[in-house]
Amino acid sequence: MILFLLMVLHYVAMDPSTVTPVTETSTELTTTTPVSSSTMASVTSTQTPINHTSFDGDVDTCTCNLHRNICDLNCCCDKDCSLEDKNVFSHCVREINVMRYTSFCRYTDYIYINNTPYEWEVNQNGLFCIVKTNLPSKRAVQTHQAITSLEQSTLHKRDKYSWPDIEADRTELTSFANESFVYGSPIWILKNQVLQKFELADSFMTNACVIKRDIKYLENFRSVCIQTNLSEGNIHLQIETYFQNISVIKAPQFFNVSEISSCPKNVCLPIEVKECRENCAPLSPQTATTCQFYSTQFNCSNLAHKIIYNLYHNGTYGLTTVELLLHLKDLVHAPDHRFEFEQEFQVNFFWRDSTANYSQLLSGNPGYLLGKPVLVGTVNGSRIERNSSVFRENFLTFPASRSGLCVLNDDVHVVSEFGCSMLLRCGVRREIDAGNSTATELCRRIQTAIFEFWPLSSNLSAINRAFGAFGNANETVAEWVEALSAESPEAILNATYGNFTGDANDTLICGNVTATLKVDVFHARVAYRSLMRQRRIVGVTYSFGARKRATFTIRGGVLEWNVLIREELMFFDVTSKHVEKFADPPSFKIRLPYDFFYPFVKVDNSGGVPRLCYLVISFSIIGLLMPIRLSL
Amino acid sequence: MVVLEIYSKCLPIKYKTYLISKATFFTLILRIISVIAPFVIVYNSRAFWLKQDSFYEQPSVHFRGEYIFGALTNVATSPIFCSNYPFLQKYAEFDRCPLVKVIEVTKNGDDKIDELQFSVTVDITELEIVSFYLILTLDYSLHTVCPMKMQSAIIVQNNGQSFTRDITLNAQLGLFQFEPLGCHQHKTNKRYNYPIVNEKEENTNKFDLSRILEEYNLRNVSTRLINEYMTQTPRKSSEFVLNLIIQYPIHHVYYTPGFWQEVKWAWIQFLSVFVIFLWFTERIIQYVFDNRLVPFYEVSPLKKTQ
Repeated sequence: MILFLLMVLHYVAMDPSTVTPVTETSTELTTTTPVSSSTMASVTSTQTPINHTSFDGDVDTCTCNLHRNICDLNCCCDKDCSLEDKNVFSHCVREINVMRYTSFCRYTDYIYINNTPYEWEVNQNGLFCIVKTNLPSKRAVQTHQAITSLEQSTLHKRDKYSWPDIEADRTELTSFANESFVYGSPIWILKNQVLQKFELADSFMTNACVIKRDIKYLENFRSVCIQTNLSEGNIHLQIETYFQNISVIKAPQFFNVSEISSCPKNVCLPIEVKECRENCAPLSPQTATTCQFYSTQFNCSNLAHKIIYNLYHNGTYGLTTVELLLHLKDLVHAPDHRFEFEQEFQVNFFWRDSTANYSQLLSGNPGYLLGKPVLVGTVNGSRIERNSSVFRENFLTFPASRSGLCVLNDDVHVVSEFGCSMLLRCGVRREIDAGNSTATELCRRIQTAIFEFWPLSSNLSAINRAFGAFGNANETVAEWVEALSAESPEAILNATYGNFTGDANDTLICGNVTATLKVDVFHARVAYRSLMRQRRIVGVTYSFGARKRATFTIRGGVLEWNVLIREELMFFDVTSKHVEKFADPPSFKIRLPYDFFYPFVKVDNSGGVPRLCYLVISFSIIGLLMPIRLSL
Repeated sequence: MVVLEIYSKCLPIKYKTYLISKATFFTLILRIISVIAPFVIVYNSRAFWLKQDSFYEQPSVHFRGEYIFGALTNVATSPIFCSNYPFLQKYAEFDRCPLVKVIEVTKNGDDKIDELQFSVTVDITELEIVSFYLILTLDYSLHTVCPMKMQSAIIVQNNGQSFTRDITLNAQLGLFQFEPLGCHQHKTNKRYNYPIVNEKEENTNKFDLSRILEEYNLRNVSTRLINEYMTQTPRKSSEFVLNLIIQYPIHHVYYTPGFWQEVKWAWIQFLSVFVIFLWFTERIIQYVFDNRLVPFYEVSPLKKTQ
């Protein structure tokens, strides 16, 4: 089948294209003056009837005609435009969606030349163009059925992009349901006889307390945000907000909504409140948040600084006890400053019979997890001692810097993180009553005070510190790595000396004082039974910084000293190349029966000892027979 | 019985003529053209000589442990300058960084560091940071196609907002090259394996950041952060915390190929065109001699010599 009947080679030497006005376009065509030959050298002005061999498309479509009965500007195909109207046109809007079969030698198009907007038949005179075709006319067919049902519309929407249904994934329980607790269930409280979800403040985008987050069953929660409004109306600063007239529902299945007013205490659990400053004690009835304005500033007392809910539970049977620890803070605020008061909210879940025991906390099982604290203990003979109630006795900690000064206690410290190398720096400032102490004694007291901030044992004769080889090390010594050190703290202490100088011996010069501790932890990823890449500590070394000379001043018999101390913790990965080693192949010992050479050897009861002559003879015979067999 | 052609061989026909003759000249010209023309065509179609090539490799990057953090504050006499370079400890009075944390993370167990997490805490009591910079020095090495080892850096600069206290920067380490890397497969390129911060006399007296940046920027090969995304948290606190989470992706490295790689590539191109020219010239010569368009005499093994 031939697609093209005739394809003629056209060659136009002067101009590759010419256009011819179409005679059967609008009526104005017949009244127009032919285009001057000077400007239309390439345009054939003969108004020949359109040749059926050209492709003229659908003459009724005029996509730029957007106003009925009004002439659209620069729309040359708009029938509403008279010839005079078209004189104002500067060009013809070219519709790109019209099928123009430019492969034909002649086809119809709108071209605006020299203020004569007409429909022109283009004679492209290309090198190769189709003069005539016998193919039937073709049309693009697309079926568009009207959507008459919602199912069809849903079908059409499938696999298409649309706005997400923002309400589709609201799986949160918005209403109270008498269902058993599972991990993540909302916790409900009764506040002023109103059933509501347990929510605590949190920050969003900024650090201000601007949103509330639902507390979920067994999901620990912690948020830190600031209150910016110091007024009596801000109830979040008042401690009563967090416990007064509030009871916590033990579990939804035990609570009857119709008995809100008479909820028993074993279902609507009361909150046991403790106030904490240095230590925690039951809340005194006199303790209340107050803010008073004195002349130029606000004096506030007992502001809720840390709000910690400890919820004890019994699995699916719900909560058993609710404890609230309120850390209180006093504040003085000048009104001309911006008010910002930081609050911390915590919700911790504990099993009913559990107690705080830091030695039970693992940093990996067995291999250390990145970011978990490093286990430490004190070596005592064949056992490792850890005071399970003191965090610092169980994990490697360093002093934190608060306003440049070292602070190391149960609340404030820097916890080591496995794999995280650290540089720490803070100042130690103390006052010592010089009394009758010698200079060396004073200097050693300074050095001892520095040692107190470092992870050393109370016995300074050795480092005496061990580190858990794995994150789950128990008390057995074999599971711990003892820290190595070239010198003991006691040796450093003994090397420290001091002298008084100055007119009134008011200057203390200390020599051989060290203020830098370097802890190097060597770890490797090893295979442990069927587990690969378990991080294990293979060695820990302590080293002390350079001995320095320091000068202090004694005023009024009191030595005020200030030393900058540094700690450097470095982790070294010493993982060796992993080589898979297989067991040796089984060895086969092939032996002849002991009486195989019976005629030639003497066999006794013990298995036989070959006599030399028989042995020689037997091997000679075998040696002679072998070539014969091979030659066969 | 079927007869099979089991073997065939060509009988050489020799065309002989004098040295100074049309046939000699014609044959010689055609042979020269068949060699020269492929060269001309291949050369003019560009990329004849392979002047640069590239490869992909995830570098081995290690934090050298050296850092410099500098910040300008709202108090001109209280700049913040923290560093652990020994020769910069003379500025320790400006050191307000009580805590520096570093973690190098291997994610896929191939022993190559994939991520660096760095955090510096700055004690800014009563001060507001106006702008800051951070320099972390790295050991950067490539091992496969083009062995290379250099000391490079992660440099962060920011005009901080005075109310910002927490800044977290997520970024990737990119490799920047002015020109292709000089490359030898069995020799490690150590051209830039020298410290970013030189302990020179002029630097020790007055630490000069602009000089460090200028020198680093002039390097042909350097690392810099790309795809940086920064989040800031306003907070009223006495501490300013800068967190960096830097990924080490696969790098696209440009290098200058060696002699044999260039020759190999050029030879392949030449040969592919030369074969075509050779075929044409052979046809032309065959046509000319078959039609006796030039004088010669023929020595054929089928004809007996007189």
